Amino acid sequence: MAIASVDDLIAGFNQMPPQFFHKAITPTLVSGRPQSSWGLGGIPGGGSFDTTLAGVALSSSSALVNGQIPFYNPSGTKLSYLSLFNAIFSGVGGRILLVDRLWHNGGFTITSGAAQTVDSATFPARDADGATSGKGVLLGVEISSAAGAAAPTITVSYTNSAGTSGRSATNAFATANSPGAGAFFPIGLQAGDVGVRSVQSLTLSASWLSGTMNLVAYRILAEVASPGASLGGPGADALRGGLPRMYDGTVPSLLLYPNGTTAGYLSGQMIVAQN
Amino acid sequence: MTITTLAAAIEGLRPSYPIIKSIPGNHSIGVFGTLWNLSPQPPLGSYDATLDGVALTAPVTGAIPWTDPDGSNRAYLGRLEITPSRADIGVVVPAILADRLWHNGGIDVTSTSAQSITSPTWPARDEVGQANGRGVFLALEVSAAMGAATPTITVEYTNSDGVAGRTGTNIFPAPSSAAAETTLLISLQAGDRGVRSVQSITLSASWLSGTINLVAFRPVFYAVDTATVTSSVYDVITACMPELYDGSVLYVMWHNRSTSNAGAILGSFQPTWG
Repeated sequence: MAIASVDDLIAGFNQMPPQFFHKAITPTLVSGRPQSSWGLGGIPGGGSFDTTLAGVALSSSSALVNGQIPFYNPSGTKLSYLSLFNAIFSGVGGRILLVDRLWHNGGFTITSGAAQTVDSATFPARDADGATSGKGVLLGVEISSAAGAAAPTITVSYTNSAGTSGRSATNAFATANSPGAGAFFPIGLQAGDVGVRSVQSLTLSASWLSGTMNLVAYRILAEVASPGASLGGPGADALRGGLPRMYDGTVPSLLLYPNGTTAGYLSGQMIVAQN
Repeated sequence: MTITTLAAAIEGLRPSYPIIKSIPGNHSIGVFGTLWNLSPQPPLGSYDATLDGVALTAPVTGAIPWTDPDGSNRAYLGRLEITPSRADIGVVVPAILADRLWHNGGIDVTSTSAQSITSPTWPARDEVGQANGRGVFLALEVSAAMGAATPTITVEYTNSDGVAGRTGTNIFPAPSSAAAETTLLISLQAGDRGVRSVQSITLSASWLSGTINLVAFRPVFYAVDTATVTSSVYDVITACMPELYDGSVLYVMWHNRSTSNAGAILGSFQPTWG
């Protein structure tokens, strides 16, 4: 059943225990540029990356994925909704995103300027509608080991959520020399698109010289502000957050948009109502 | 029975218990601190003096007073309020309301050898009300100020799935001359969901002097707020009513945000039964 009332919401509390997270954000940060906590240690422990260009779909249904904030499918016909997400960044504050990590890959030749064929594995049925079409699914390039002193443009060729192939977009934030592990470069969408169904290729405009990069497909579940070091904004509770659906197999993880360069820790909790 | 309606949650609210804790200064910016061994309300708690430690079940001095719900009722967090007394004391939410399952003592702070710990079975108060340790984490609390060193702390543990030989380290760097109440959370090894038991602790270097204690805790609720002197107030809806199990030993950890002046943390805790 869906949560359609305050009583439904209350009945849905405690079906899945609250999940606490506390991650050290240690790489050098760049103000305004996203940083992923996926590979970093703490609570939960760090995750890993796939090493194939086709990548792997990610799901917590049979077992948690290393690196994810724990999520457990509801029993029976119950549905899951994010009922609270609150978080702070102790460094300089920023914006903190809770995302569902649907797919990631590896195996790119970071020194190549040629189009590298990806032909991504089918994304899990966790787009904005709980389907595989890709509505609301975005892409980002995550640096898993520090890249070299270059700043290439990243171009991704993809099929959009309407099934139209040959779509193309580039990094929404400029790349920079020597981005550290965890640096995350969101990829835009071609005009008119609302999401990504699959990825066909990735091209660097120039060699990034060294390091390792990975492509990630994700859907944003919630976003909260940390207006200053260790300050939290109003959390994304059931009313403020809009009760976004979390589909079976969700792999929650965090993206930080820091307000400055001071390292710190990312700390908070995620609570899910299931009814 | 379980609370499934707003009316039941309101009807089940129990008396509120005030939290008043005096915070001494000189804490490092960015670390957590524990209210466990501070006074006056609840009164200051103490630590065990053995490496194996003791499992904790209410009543325990130092914890927010606790009564198990009667009959078939279950207990939940109904309301939580946390406020620093002054903007300049450096103390601000985030604060963690936690259930303290175990703590120990007797750690040789000058030794760099692995110090064996055979922790007793946890009370059945992990995140699903069992003793397996799911959602149970470890923290190192300083109970007497440390020497001028910054060791890395490594803990060997068995995870909540029963797999031994797992290791975690302090997530925040150990401050030199860490003040009492300094609290360092210990990381989980990749893939782990919690700690079932502890086998050893190792310091990478001598911490010279002072007293440290390992604590196993389950975070119940994480409170944040937008400014340094306002109250952080959570109710049955905004706190999502996390369950509190029989025998809970509740206490608060605070976050030292900026300055290190002395002050106080004020607040209140209110469970609901149903």
